[in-house]
Amino acid sequence: MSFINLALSLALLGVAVAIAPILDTVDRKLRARLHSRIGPPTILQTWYDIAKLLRKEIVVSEGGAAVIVPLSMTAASALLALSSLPPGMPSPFAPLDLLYLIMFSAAAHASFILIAVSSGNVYAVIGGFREFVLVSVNEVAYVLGLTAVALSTGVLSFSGAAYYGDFRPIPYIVSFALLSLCLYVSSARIPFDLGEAEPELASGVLIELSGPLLAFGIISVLLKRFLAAAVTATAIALPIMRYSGVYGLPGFGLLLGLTIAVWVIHALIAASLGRSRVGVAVKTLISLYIPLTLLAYTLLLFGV
Amino acid sequence: MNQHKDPLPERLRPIESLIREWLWIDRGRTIMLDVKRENLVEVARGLYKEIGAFFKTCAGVDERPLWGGYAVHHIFGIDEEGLDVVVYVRIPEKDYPWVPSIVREVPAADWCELEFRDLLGIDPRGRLTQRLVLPDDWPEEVKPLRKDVPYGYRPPRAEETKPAEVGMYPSGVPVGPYHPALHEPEYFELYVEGEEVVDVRYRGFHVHRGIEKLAESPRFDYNKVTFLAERICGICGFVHSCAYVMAVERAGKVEVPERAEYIRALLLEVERLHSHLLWLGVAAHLLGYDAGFMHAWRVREKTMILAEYLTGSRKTYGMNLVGGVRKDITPEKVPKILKVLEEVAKGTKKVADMIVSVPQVRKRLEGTGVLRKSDAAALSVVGPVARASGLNRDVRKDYPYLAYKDVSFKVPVYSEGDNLSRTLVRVEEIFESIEIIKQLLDRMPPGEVLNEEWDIEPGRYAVTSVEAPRGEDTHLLITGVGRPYRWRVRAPTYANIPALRPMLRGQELADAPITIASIDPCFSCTDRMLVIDVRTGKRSVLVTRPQVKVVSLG
Repeated sequence: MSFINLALSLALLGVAVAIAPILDTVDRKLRARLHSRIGPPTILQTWYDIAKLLRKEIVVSEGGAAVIVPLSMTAASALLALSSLPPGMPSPFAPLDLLYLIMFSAAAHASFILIAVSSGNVYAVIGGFREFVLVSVNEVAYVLGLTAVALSTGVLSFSGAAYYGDFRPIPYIVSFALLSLCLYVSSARIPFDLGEAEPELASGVLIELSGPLLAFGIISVLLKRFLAAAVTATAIALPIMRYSGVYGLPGFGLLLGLTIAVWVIHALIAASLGRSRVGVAVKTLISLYIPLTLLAYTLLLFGV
Repeated sequence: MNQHKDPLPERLRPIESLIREWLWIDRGRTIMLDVKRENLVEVARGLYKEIGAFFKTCAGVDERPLWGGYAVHHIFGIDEEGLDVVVYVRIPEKDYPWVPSIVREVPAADWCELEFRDLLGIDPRGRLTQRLVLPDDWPEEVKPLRKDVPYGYRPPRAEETKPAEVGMYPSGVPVGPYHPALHEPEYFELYVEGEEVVDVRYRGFHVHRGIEKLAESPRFDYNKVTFLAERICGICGFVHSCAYVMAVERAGKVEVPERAEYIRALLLEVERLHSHLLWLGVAAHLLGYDAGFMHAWRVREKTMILAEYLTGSRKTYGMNLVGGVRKDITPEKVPKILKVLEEVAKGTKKVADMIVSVPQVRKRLEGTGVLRKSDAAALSVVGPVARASGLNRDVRKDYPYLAYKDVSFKVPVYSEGDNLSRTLVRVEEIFESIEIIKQLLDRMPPGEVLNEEWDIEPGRYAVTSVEAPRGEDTHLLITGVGRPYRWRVRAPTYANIPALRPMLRGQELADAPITIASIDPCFSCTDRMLVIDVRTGKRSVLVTRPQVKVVSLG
């Protein structure tokens, strides 16, 4: 691993922490435009909200102390998963970057569920179980989608695929469709924000958090959301990097630009839908995942 | 009493033998049946089950200053005849007044029986009783609606009271009193197995505002109560104000200029427009579709501006007085009204189509929160809740009042009884209201809008019902000297909340908020806390200041 690899990976993490709240404001602003209202007054509004929460006193509810560890684990896992992506250069985890990505993504989701269970609040527990059901279905499809994307490049590593992947367009597109759907679900936006479903669960998983703890909770959620957008962006960027030779800083810029674009698309989709129910969401996802997975692997198997 | 001795309506013949005497309070509209206490249950059964009357409400009255005893008035309505039937029962006991409970025959009488028990100390015998309206620390011997209790009475502060045991199951999901799904404080406890709601318990009436008692106080006169009535509700206050003034006018035989009746009807429809659009937005928000929420409220804003243009206020119009209205709607205002109505119609069409076409919204409205027609009839539910369950009930058609007799409109009725039906009923009613307003503007007669020459004799009686956006709002009024002797208000939500239990049972927890919201509930102002001891699972309601303080300080 060279210094530049590490520097770009660290830069991606820094950028993720810095711009995820800004992207959240963009998200809010976009929604406001679609709703015919003004929205946040400044692009830094989510940052201001977080800063305000950070300045408040720490109030830990009974059993609330237990949430601190999973809260930290969620943010850390999301950041580690991000560092598995190639930011214009191979990831520090290459060639096992995909394995690490799967592992750390799963850890981020699992620790998010742990926040709910640890808090002991009935709304949080219900939210946690909803997350668990959704993640159980989604993670399987995510692993299959990620693997199918990698297989259709001929290299079981995103970092490797960016340099010497042999892309098979049709399986790649189908695998990408499966993967991007999984990633949208994992971004916990409407209609899949079931763990936090505000009107029913009053913030669900995060309900026991306030002040600085809530600030970290919000950052964790935003980082998970950034991760979902960045992985989708990476899957779009790989063939561009491979065939246009966009590496280094331009590659980093490409990944970042695509991440922002994906985030905006996610925001627009969320603004045009309503919230699902856990039973309906799972059934809908299974009915989409099974045919997409079968199609992707059939295409791969038959060498299309 | 203002009475007329006309024959008993044919429809009431089956119970004729049980009636001691009948009096036409308002010929063709309201009949009072004087019934012996021992015949009350039979009469109630006959009216409810054989004659097919709906139950509206009941009220206890302290009539000791009039004839030496108490009385209970059970109000039924026969929609097909447009007839209110008041079953009047005298209670001679001064110390321990009682009446037989009719709740086994008429489940809809559950709350109002408990209410007259709390407020007048009239015991409904033959049923389980508990406090409903009064707080747990209210002195047992003080019955606030009795005439010998001053309106300004304040009970001594109770520092230590045994917490009331509540809850039937070891675990439940509390919804309220502060909860994002509820826009007013109220408390539901949902008992769930997985995501399925298996039972529900509601606790309301946490702060009784004492408005009925206040109206009897020397601080008020007939006209001042109009403004008090409008403050019962922040959304459909004009409905209450109309129901009240109509009751006074009917009881006192006050002539009301026809133009004033048109203006009242018009404003009632403006109120319905804003209320239904408000509800549509809230429903979209509860289903996670905030675009629908914002756009519904954007369209609603036009109706608020219209209300301000016509009355000077966006809400709490302050237009009514006994004998008419305070402000005319002059002809030069008509073009602007029509323009706004056009915009509201177009906007509503777009927003409603948009909301119900979102797949997640549609899925969560369709087949959820079902209220069967039989349950709806048994509980005497009102308004869009009744109409969505196949009951063709609308006071504007069934008991025409104000200018509604002069306009034509459809009453949307659906048979499915689910959340989607209640949504569609409200959406269709928006368009009907727009058409009603247009017709009213077109046919509004010229003339005065207020009759200030009136004098109201004490001891007169009236029952009025007005179709609020949430359903039938019923007021009972007995006139006194310069002010009401007794004024009873039954808001529509009072009739609809009991229906939530059958609606919520078997539903998924996710659909509980929209199901609760689907009755468009309107609650009182505050609530108390529920404490659950996590070690023992014991539940209690905080009722004393020290208890609240201990919990607040953690």
